[in-house]
Amino acid sequence: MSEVDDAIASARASWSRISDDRTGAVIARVPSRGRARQTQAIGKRLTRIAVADVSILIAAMVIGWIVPLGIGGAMLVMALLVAATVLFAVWPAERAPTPERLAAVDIRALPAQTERWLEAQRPALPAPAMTLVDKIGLRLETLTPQLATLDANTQEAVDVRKLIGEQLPAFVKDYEKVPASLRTTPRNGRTPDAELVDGLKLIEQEIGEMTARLAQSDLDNLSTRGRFLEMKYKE
Amino acid sequence: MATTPETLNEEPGLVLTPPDPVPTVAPAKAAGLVPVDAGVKSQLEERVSGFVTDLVAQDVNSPEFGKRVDAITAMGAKEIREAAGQSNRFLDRPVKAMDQETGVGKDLAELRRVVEDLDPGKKGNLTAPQKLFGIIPFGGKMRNYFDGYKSSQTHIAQILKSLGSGKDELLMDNAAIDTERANLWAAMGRLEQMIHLSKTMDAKLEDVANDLDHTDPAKAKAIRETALFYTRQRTQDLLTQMAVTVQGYLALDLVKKNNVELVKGVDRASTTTVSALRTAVTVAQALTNQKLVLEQITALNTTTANIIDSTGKLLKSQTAQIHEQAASATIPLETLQRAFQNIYDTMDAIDVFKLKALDSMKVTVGALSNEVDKSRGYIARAEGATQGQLGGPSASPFKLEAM
Repeated sequence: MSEVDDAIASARASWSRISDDRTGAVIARVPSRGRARQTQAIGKRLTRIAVADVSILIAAMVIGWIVPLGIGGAMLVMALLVAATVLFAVWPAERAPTPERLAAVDIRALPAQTERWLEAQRPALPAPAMTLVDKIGLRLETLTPQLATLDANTQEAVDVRKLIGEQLPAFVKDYEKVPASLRTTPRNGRTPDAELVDGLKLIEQEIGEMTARLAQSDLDNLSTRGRFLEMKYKE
Repeated sequence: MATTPETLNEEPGLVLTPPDPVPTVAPAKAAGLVPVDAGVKSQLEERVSGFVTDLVAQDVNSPEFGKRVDAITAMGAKEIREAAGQSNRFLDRPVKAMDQETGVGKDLAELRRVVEDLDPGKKGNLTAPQKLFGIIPFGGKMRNYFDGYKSSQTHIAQILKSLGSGKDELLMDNAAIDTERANLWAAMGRLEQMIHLSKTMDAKLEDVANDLDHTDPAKAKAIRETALFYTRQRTQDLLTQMAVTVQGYLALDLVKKNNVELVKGVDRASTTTVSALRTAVTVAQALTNQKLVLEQITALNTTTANIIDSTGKLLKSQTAQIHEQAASATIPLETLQRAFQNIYDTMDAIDVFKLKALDSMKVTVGALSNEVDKSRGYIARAEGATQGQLGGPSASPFKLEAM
């Protein structure tokens, strides 16, 4: 595809995002993904703060029943409340996982972690790679529930880990190491930018194929049971 | 037995035919079994001529030429991998089907034991009066005999129920085979396309090399030694995988046919058993004026009729006849004996079938595992080619794959 085609495709995508039809529903989730995760993170933080504050208050009440706390005690409780709130608002800092951590993370959490890592790489990537990053993010989201029941030692799991836990981070890292000024300079007929886009395209396709492969047995089971019902009750 | 009313023998003898073993499919004959659409064919041919023209235009020593040759090496790798992935699975199935110790086989053996216990032929002369210490008349042998039914009815009902679910399992197995065969058919279609592509490539490369012999002998040599050589290798790989897949496809059909026959057998075993028990009920009434109440069996009548829809009708019409005969015939015990004989015949037919089916299954599995082993080497080569291709993250613009 030429750049013009890309531009047209992305324009179509944004149009279907704005318009309310069903085909746009999937694509419409792209921009909201980052926001959704942010909301989720804030929610988690708020819960932590609430839990900490409530437990401090309960502890103060229990102690107050036995030994009167007095003014000093009340001040101490207030100080503790403020301290806990501030602490949990700042800590733990949200940080994208490093490639080293991706290699060790549990297979079930891997797609989500890879997605976060990929989001963090966005600023370093060229514009044509952005849509691909979005697409890979979507693919990874589809992959997450599929991996929930997968044994980490099966060939499929190993393949998934190799691709999204090792190859993808290594490939993007290699690109990032190339000095910015050289990224747009053609070398052996292709620019590093183009090579990145081609590679990401391949990875995106391969993740899609993995999803199809993992879904194979479920699809088979569905049609088998359908066929069984036909044999037993229809023929 | 000569006087036994013929009406009872009316149902045709159960003949279960075991399918013949699947022969080995030669790679040379494997191609052409799955039809390829003419439109797809011409599309593939177009793709090949485009590829070959492009290849010839490149300088022999340039990396671009190398890349195109690599594409030939990887040609069909995906299709082969896909088809090979299923070859292991279809080897499991016949082996599982040969397992005699579980499911339907076990139930049938148990049913035979229970039925043998009730067989009137094995009880000696039932009409002779029973005597205490051989002298004093005591009770009726006949009455005791029919009491035996009451105690085994729960057991029989259980076995029949379990046969019913065994039959469901067989049907489920067949449904799974249908799905698998559909998948294999699709895989074979893609392999077939690749074989067509590969053979067209072979012919085109040969032509091109012959043309170049006069103008550019070096290039002709390079094309023969790389592109044409790899194309021929890939053709062989594809044909081998195709042969294995076709054989597996046929083997699955064998398993399915076996299951269908077995289902017939199970149906008939259930019908004949229920029919014998019904005969017993009527005979008991005729001979001893004893009202033999077999609740479990009565309850089963409806369920069995549902399970065995095909034979259910037969069962219904039979019951009426049995009733008539048992009540009027002078020899009701022989009617009962005949009913038992029916069960034995059915079970014998199943046993004979199983033995024969086991034989053809063994032959099939033997041939199939042989071929799968042979094709492993080719698959390994295909795998190697794919790995090499995945190593460089470049979206190849000249991918050679099925539609």
